[in-house]
Amino acid sequence: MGRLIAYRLLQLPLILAIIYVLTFLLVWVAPGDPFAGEKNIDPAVVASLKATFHAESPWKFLAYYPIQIIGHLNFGQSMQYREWTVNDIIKSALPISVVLGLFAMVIATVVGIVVGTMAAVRRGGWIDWLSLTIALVGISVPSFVVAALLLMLSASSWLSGVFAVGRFERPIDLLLPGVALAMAPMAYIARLTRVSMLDVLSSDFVRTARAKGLSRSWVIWKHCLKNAILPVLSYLGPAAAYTLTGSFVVEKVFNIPGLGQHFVNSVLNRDRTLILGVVLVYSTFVLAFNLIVDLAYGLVDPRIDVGGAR
Amino acid sequence: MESPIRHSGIRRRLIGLFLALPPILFAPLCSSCDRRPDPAGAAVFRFINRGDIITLDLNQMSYVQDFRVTYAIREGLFSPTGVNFAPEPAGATSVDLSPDKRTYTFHLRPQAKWSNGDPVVAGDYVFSWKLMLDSPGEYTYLLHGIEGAHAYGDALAADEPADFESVGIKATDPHTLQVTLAKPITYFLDLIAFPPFYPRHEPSMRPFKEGRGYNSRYTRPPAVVTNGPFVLTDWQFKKRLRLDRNPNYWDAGNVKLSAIENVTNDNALSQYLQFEAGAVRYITEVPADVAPELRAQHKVGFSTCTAFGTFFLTLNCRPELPSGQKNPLNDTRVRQALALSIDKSFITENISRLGEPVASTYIPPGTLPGYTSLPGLGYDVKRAKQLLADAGFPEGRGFPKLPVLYNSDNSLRARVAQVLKQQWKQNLGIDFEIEGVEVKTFKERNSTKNYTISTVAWYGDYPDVSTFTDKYLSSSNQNDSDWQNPEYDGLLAQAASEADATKRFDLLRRAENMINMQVPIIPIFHYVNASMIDPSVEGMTINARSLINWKRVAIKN
Amino acid sequence: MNRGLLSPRIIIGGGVLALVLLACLIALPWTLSSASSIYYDGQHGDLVRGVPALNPAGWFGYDTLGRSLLGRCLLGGAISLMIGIAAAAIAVVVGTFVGLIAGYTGGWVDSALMRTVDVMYGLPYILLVILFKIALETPMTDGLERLQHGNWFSSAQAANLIVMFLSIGLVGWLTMARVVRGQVLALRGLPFVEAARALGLPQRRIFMRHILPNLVGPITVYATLTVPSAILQESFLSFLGVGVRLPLPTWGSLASDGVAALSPVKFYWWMLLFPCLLLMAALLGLNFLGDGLRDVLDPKKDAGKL
Repeated sequence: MGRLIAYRLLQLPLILAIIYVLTFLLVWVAPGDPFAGEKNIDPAVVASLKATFHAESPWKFLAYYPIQIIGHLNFGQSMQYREWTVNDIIKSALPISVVLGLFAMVIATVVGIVVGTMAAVRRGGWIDWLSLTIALVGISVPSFVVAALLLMLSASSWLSGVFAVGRFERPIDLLLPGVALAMAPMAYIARLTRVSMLDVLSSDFVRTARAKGLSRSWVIWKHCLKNAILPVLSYLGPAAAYTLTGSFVVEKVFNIPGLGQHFVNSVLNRDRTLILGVVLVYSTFVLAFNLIVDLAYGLVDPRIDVGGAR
Repeated sequence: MESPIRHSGIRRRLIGLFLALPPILFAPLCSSCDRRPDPAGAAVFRFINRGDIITLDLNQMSYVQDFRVTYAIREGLFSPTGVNFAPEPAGATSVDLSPDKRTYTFHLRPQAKWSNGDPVVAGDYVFSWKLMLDSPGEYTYLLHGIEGAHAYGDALAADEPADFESVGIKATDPHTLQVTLAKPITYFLDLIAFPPFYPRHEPSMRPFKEGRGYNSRYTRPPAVVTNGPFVLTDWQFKKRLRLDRNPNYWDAGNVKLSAIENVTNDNALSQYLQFEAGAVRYITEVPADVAPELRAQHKVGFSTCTAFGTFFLTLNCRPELPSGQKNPLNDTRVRQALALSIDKSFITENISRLGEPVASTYIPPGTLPGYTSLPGLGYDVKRAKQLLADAGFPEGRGFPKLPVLYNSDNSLRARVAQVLKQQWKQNLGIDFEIEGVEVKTFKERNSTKNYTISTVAWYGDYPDVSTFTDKYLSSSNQNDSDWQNPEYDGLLAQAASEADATKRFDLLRRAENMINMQVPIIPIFHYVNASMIDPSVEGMTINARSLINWKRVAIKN
Repeated sequence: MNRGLLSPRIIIGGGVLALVLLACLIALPWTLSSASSIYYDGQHGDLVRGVPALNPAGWFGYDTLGRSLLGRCLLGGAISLMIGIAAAAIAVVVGTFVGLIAGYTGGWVDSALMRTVDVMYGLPYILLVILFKIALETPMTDGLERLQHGNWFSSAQAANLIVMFLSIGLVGWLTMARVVRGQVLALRGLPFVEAARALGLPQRRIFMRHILPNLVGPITVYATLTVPSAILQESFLSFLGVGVRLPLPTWGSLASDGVAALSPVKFYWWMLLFPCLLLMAALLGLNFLGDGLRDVLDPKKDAGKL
């Protein structure tokens, strides 16, 4: 276990460095000037701005920012929002996305596992059909449609006063954006659970347990689920990283000042410092969650030797 | 065989932790997004500004939402707060103009104070204007009419010795500011009322000094010191800005609101829902997707006003297209034919739907007192066909397939481009292609003239004809059509040195008409600002330049 | 096996999908002909935002430019499905190739390839797709223009579609590569492959005879499931305004127009309902088909390897 953690932690900076360089290359070849304003700007003004941001050339950029990031964890100033550093933006936006994302992941995991298990147990029955169809409908419509409809719903006259539209005042205001965000992982978890549950249900130990006289639901919920949950667990890693860093659509529709919108807006604004900042945050999340999942795997299923080569 | 899993206790604990997390985490989250309770009876004016605040740094500022906040927290020698938003004395009490109309002597208001209690002195203006030149921004060019300013800026940019003594900005004593212009500028007081000419408080900015300029963070509370009717007390990125009444403001007795909150929300639907729910009292610009419906339903609070801006097509007038082909638009007749064959009223009636006046001229009519444009080109398909045939493309034969560029974040322009394609096909027999690109690429393509026809807009910065006409000077870097006409340049040069307002307008009228008739641009319609104002709000007059006199705004009980 | 292939999931999913696909394809001659009343770009000034009517062109109503929404939905479906299939094809080809090489070769090649996949998984794909699309579209247009120099087709339109396939396919192949590699590793250890090797059969033959046929199942399943996610990604790009070029419709861009027309004051329901219904039918069909195929072709698949 210790060896795994050490190995992964050593790998982390290397992977992050590669990601940084790759993103930087794309950022630099993309057309469009980060400093272009509403009207054409005098070249002298652009030159002075570029100098301020160490962006006269890719070399100057690479000579300045990576050292700042490594040395001081300082991602520099945002090129679009001149008053704010990338660190400011991440600090203000990430906690919001994390809270919303955690909430969504809880919904997705609980509902997904229950639906998937029920579907597997009643394979081919109406529960199987109905539950999976409902789960799939959520991911068969673009998320911007689902989110917009939920927003309309929250503002409708039957629900007047329940939700504060367009802002957050009480925990209940998290509900609809959370549901919108949970749709995709929920459907995925339901399908994963169903498939692996079908596998487990057909295995020997289930028959043994039943033969020992244990009740059906006890066997299903207690024994089978423990095993069927493994694939779900490995999906939860990347899914959590993805969900916790926020979703552009949900944040835009529900007016949530989270990190998700920056994944799109920073690119559209060519806010180079911010793009690289959010990419590194995201990648760190992904790598960290993968590590956590691998460790959790070891806790849930001691047969798996997490220390060994993958 | 028993289940192979023995660590279920750990799993249970993990799940428990998972479930407990959201409530635990919501507490800190909510403290940052919750609305602050207001003192009893105090009126907080919440409004939704257009988009995010990009910057409040006077040097960098160029977006209307940023100016809107700046008008509440800062004040210049003059403010656009008079009748019809004409400049009236604010930081100054009076001004003397020399007989040659080149030297302005401003007498500062002795009781004017910064929000920290320091007096506002002439040196604060000199400091701020010098900073505009030292660390140039989008609007630095407005200062170039001041004697020596342009040369000073150029010298700095070239790293040559520059002497600010040679610039015509002098504080003759703490309460007198003397400004000498290179040439008379009839609208100079309008410029003075524009934020790039506002003073700044040097001592509070000192910690932010960086090179020749200052880091924009000097504008963030608690460091920021301003001199307007309100002070910025809280600014949370992408969430809100809180502006409280400035007790040190010289006219504080006449400020009605106790606080203003600028709410961030750039989603059209949710903006309107917030307004309906009473959470905000004012939406500065209702997005194009919702506005026409509100107008059609005569919603209470919905109001429109012709804006100081025009939506038009810019045509690339260079002899060659970006691809190297010969450019048919280089021929004035082709450009005129394209202009004459657009049914603009179809666009305003079916697409934009805010009652926009159809544009045949570049400058929005009725927005500048005393100025009227000469008539431009109308809708005349027969003449268009004739012109096209004269240019060598009878019935559109032989005309290459050219692209019409638009920025894809703007659904209105996307639809206009599709309609144009259809109309030109129908009326002239010419096939166009439409090309949507995202906004930064769009701007780069326009400014580098890497386009053929593009859907663009121009809003005036200050209330004078030249804010429109200067754009098409041969030397202007805003001249995206690359239309070069010595006669036009001559007329503008003549107008620039004409001190008599009527004669000057005559010259400009002729110049504007050259644009309308030679068609480097095809005006489509003049913009209309659509806003939602709650009936409880008083003292808010909507106007072409969407200015607000924050002092006068009040909430009725 | 026969009973399995005819599972209700496959029949219903495949049936719905086939129905939608057929309708879109059969309608192509009409949706693309400017003489037809359901021409995708046939603007009718008097029918702007027209409500659904009884004549065929008006079944789904009209959009903001007075175009028949039926025609646009049908052509949009053809384009959306084409994007989905093309992106899935890219994912299949690249993913299978990488997965095979990694799984079969092993050693440092395997770890190099798999670390690459890890790195790409670590990138925020939405950001990457948009950036990739913006960065590549201009050079691609210029390249095509230089290549053809003439007017065979519109370079900008072609470049737009190619970059769209590439940027969506860009992320799709990762999962495929992992699945294929995992499958190859598993197969290599199975007795019948060991036996073939012990018999001294040539590598090529083992590969073609024993490995490849066993990969068809998982690849088909994943390809079927990649199509809907590619279609959804295109819809997201359309929502951001960097999707397929107008006036060409896709289900995504039609749905996004529908959302824009959604307001509490006046609801142009048909602009949202019909594109979303079709999109939902096709995606549900694809997902059901994929799930059904997985039940049949790939019962023991390692679902954990995502």
